Amino acid sequence: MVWVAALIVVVLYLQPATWVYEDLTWLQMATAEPVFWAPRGLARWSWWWQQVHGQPYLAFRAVSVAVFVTSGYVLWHLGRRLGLSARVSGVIVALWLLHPLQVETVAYAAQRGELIAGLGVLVACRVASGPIRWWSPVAIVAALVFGWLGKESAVVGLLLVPLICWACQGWRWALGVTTVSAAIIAGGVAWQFGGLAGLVNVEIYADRVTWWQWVQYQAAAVNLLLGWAIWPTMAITPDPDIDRLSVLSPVAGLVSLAILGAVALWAWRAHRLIAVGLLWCLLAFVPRFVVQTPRSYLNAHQFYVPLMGLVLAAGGVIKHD
Amino acid sequence: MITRVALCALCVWYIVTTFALVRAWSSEWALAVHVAERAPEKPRALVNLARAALLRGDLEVASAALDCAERAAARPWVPAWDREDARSAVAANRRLLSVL
Repeated sequence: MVWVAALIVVVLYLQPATWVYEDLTWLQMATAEPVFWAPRGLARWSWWWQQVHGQPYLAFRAVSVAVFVTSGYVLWHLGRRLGLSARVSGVIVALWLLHPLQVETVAYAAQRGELIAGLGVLVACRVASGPIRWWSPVAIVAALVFGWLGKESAVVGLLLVPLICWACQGWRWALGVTTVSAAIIAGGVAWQFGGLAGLVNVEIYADRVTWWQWVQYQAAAVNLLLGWAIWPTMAITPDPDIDRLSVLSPVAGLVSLAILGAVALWAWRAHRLIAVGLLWCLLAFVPRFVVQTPRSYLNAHQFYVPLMGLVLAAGGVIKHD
Repeated sequence: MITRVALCALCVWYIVTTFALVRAWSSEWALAVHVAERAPEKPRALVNLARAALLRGDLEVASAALDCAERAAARPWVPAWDREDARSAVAANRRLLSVL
């Protein structure tokens, strides 16, 4: 099933195409060898390497597709570790690979960093799902660093690895991992971003967007991205009012997240995989919808990692059906 | 059996929609047209359509798209920052258009 879906992905994505939107900015940046050990360093380095070797656009897309399909394979393994049969795990990976919400991340060459970040997070979670060996902590850290070198969004792995540990390992191991993650998150926020204001990119909008508008944007992102995930046709049908934020948007957004959280907590004992999937979606999504700016609040790549959680939850439903 | 049929139908639906979106991401022009069709009252979508038309050398479409962007930016629900960005982008593209 995974291989059939992977083949369809290759056929769908490797069509004649060319650079779009901010790709050219990335190409200009890729004329000199970039700093490797920095957020997006690996993504930039891979661009630079391909450019130096004179590769055409389709080769850039092929690399993105390869990272995407590899991520699907790791997700299949994670599904298996979380208790799904090979067939059901294959089905959820097929749904994830073929989902229209992925197009922006895969077909837009500039988003390669997001693909690398997703792969790093997946590998870290796969290792955390066990069986635990002496090298497992090293492998988890290495995978998260790999993801972070793709894009800083891989920091959600610090939330997802503890979640997987709580689902798959004993409480001592899970508590240890959670403590380490929390310490890294607190230290990272203080050191890297100089406080919450820096983290949420608020400073460039400080004089231009009120806090209420900020809340409305984030809530609209929750509503629309969740809506597109569930009903993808929304992503291609005209919507003249897409930017018309309503007073009810924040209420609807909060209710959506609250429902996800409530169902996850309710399902934790009896339907563990559904709970893990929904919590994965929540944990991966919530930090993103805080940091996204009003210009980028509807970017589909924001939902790349959260969608993994939704398909895992779907796997739990199919398993019980 | 019902679950299998439903999952197959879901996959077919996803493939068809993904195919349409991949086509939209195939070139600057295709993407700009797709976004402008999808969000016909979004100023930035219309400015990007004008830019893509300029790149193709289609000056009439570029000019019309800039007019639409200006009208869209004037709508009351467009936030001030968005209106400001759109108007400055429209002005810059109009200057370029006048030179060509």
